[in-house]
Amino acid sequence: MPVVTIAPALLRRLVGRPLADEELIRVLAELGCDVEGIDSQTGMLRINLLPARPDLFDVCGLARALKGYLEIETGLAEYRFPDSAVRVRVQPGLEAIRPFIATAVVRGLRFSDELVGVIMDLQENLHWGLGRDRRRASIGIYDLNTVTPDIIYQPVKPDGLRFVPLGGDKPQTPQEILDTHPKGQAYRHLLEGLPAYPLLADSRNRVLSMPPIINSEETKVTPQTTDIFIDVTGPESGAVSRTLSVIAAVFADLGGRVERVRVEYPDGKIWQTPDMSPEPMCLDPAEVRQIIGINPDISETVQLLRRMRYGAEPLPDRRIRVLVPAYRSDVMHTRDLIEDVAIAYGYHRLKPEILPTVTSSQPSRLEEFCVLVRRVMTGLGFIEIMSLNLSSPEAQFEKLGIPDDGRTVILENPISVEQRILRRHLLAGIMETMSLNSTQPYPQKIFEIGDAFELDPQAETSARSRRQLALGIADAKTGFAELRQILEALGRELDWELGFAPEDRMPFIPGRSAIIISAAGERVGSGGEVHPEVLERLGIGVPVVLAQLDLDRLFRS
Amino acid sequence: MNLESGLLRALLEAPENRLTVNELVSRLKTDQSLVMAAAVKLKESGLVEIIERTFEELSPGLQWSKKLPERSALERLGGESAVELSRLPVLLAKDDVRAEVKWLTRKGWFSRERDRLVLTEKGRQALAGAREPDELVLEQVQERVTVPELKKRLAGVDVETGVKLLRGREELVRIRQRVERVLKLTEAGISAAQRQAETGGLTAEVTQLTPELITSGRWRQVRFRRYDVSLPAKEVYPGKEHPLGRIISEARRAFLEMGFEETASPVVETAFWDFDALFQPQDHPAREMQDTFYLAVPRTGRLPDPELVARVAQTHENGGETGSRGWQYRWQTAAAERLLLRTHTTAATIRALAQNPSPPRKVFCIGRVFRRENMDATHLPEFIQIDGIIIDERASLVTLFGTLAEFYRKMGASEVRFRPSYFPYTEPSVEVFANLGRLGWVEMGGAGVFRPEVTIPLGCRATVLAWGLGLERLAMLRFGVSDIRKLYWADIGWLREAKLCR
Repeated sequence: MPVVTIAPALLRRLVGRPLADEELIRVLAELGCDVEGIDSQTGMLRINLLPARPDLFDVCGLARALKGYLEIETGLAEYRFPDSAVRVRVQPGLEAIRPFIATAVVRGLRFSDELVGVIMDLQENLHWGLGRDRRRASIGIYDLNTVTPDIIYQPVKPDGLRFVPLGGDKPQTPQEILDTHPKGQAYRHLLEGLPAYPLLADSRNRVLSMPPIINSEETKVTPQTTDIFIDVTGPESGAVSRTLSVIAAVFADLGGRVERVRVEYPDGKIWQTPDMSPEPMCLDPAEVRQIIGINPDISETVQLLRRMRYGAEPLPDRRIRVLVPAYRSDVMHTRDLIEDVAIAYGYHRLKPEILPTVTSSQPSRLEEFCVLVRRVMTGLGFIEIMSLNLSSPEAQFEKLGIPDDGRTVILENPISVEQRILRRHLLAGIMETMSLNSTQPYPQKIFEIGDAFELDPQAETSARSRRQLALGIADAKTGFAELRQILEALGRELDWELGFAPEDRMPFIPGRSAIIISAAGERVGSGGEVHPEVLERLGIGVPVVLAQLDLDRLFRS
Repeated sequence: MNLESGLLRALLEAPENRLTVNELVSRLKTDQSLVMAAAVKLKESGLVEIIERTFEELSPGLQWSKKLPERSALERLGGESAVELSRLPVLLAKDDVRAEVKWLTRKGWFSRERDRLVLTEKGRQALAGAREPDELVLEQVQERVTVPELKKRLAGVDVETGVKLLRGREELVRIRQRVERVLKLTEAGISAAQRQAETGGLTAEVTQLTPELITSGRWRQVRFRRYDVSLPAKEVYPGKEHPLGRIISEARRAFLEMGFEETASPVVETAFWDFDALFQPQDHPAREMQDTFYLAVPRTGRLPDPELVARVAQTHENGGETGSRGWQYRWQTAAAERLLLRTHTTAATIRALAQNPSPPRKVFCIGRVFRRENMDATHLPEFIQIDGIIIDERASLVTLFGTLAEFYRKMGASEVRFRPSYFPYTEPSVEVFANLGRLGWVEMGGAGVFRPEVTIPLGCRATVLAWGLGLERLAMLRFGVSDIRKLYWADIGWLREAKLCR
């Protein structure tokens, strides 16, 4: 998860209280921030981003939340912006490409290094958190004085209008930018295959950007910039609008004069953005009691909500009217308000209680059966191992000389060659363990209880798993007779009638392997003396006997 | 009668209760090695002591004769007071007379004056019969003889000097170092030997108590050899459960004790149950290829009851009947049908909830889950999770805290702490920390109250508490393992040593 670095001094200045580092970290954690700590080298506060709270991705948002929690400034932070003379017109043809655009103008900024850092980090983090890597929302920021309004949001042919992309030195067509520019290559998957690409240009055809790929070099923000134009584009209005609200609130907190821009859609719809109007909700305090288990009175609940920067006032029907700020993109249900009431109340103040309802335990019968098998195996002197369900065809088939029957579950995006299928049996785990432990004293007696997997077109998820027991003995003196002793002891203790029938199969020596048959005549396993060819391949220098039993089948029988 | 009792008897009868090994060999008419073996056993039982003595043994050399060569020469020269050296070969009937000249002068019987040998006073006495100690010793060495024996035979003779004079005259006498072992009864030995003589029986000493000794009653006549109980023994190891398996068993028992029912679900799971039913939007980062193992074979699975699927889809798109605004995007059936390896056992508890949403219920599941993570000391692409839910009208965040505090108390934690966190399917969401004493506060997993967007589409109106906790961390801390891979790549040596009492 991305990490945001915050200058503690700037945060203190914005909060307006000289919080000690320790207190700052504690309070942020109580608010739900995942604080890594203060970097001892840079003195910067490191916080892991919570994807659901883009309003806490930057120093201004954190300061806003802290001021509420610490009761320095509570209730709704009001953002009322005047209308700008700048307008945006959306041309037809983008409906199936990237239909929505929201924009804002900010004036009177001084682009100090500090501010540039804050804005760049915020833009990048919003692309990740709200924008889903620019798919749902992408942001552009431009020097307003380099463009001549109105601004036109329009479709452009891949070989259409040329412009100089940010960091480039010559004009290129949109397609050339996708093919050659680093950002074009990184995000081309968002536009590929479309008949036209989105383009933002001014009334004189000077290009601002090709969303969601790249801005133009000509309109970029410089240290001399004081007035900016911001756009957010995306396939849905909600994410686009909320992303712009987060940014607008930050610029306003930083002292910028934000102006609303009129966006005219081809169907005649008008959208005044940024839309900072809060969303009204209604909270029943009984729900707080039900979900959290605390019982604050109405006025206390109102105060708790206001500390979390909601507008809140009691209604005559004992409910509470809540105003949710536009930048709180995560609030989609009253349940989200309830969590914030609990956070403001303080999790450390919640007293754990035991649920009074009495229920009777119900263990899984298969698991209980495995407990018994495990008990017998340890009683027989075997040590339990655990290995991974992820395996490879080499380990499962090739090394043991077992033919691959094509009924294996295969991963699409494995992370290593050793782990690209689900295991078909547990014999490989036993053999691998012996191979890794060839310097340990013998006899080695080990077992594993776990699942083996195979394709099953009838099953709900097209695959099934079976609980297996695998066991092995490595010792200079071991042989089939000892294996049979062990299997018969298991059968005796667990009341299985096991039959043994000869069957030559790898990884066993011909004439020294058997299939194991239940009383019902079902095949429930196999075992034998491991072929020296296999032992040699695995670097095991002593004889090994090996068996596997299908506990699912034995359990049912 | 065994050799040990014979030996005891012989020693009891011997003067001072002592005999040399050689004497015992001849008395007991047996082999020296058998006598020594019996002697060592008796010594370990504290019945005899073995005294070792070194002494010299003399045996005749190749040119041994009763007389020293210089004595023969003296006698041949027959008392002449002076003899020319040139005449010596004739007188002694020898070509080379250098040795005789050397020894006649060294003994002091003659002195050399230019080319003559002159008889001394000592020479005269020698002729008259005075004999030196070496001559006396030499006489005795007709057969092999020890120095102590010589001393016995030649009382009053300075045997030491005699032997010293003969040293180096290998052709006459060979002198060898010998070790003699003498066995002597100890006090305990004397009484044991006497008891043996009285009872007529023989108190044999045995190492192993055999069935034959017990059934024949002969154990009454034997003594059990004393062992050195301070010696270490060869290691043996019991069969045992895997350390992680034991933590799983403990966790399982803890939830069963708290009245939970146990459930399970497929490892190969549809995205529907792993994500969609849990209100994770289809474009959520956790669902991407980067974090989740999707399957190439098989690719898709069946979705449940279409009405349930439709309710879930609608909740994603616009909140449906839940009062939520939803995620506001177009939900795709194809994405929900995709098969993957379950990323959490919440897939099991949510299936249990969908199957029977009526309160009160408490359900848990322990199982393998899969995340697309690179392997290192703290991460594996596959690990164990323990998930639980409580469906109950009276459940709330404080009872969630109470339940988890009780669980971790059973697992050995002194205290549990909760911090606000975020998960798409719970609200409120918390991170769980347990205080493991000397190991301090350790993050254990996530918990919360299921969102209405999760429970209502599945037909549940009651509050549902949920959690997903890791167990490897607990096992690593308890067994002092710093690398998680050790749990799954078994080092038999470690498994043998891993303590059951941890």
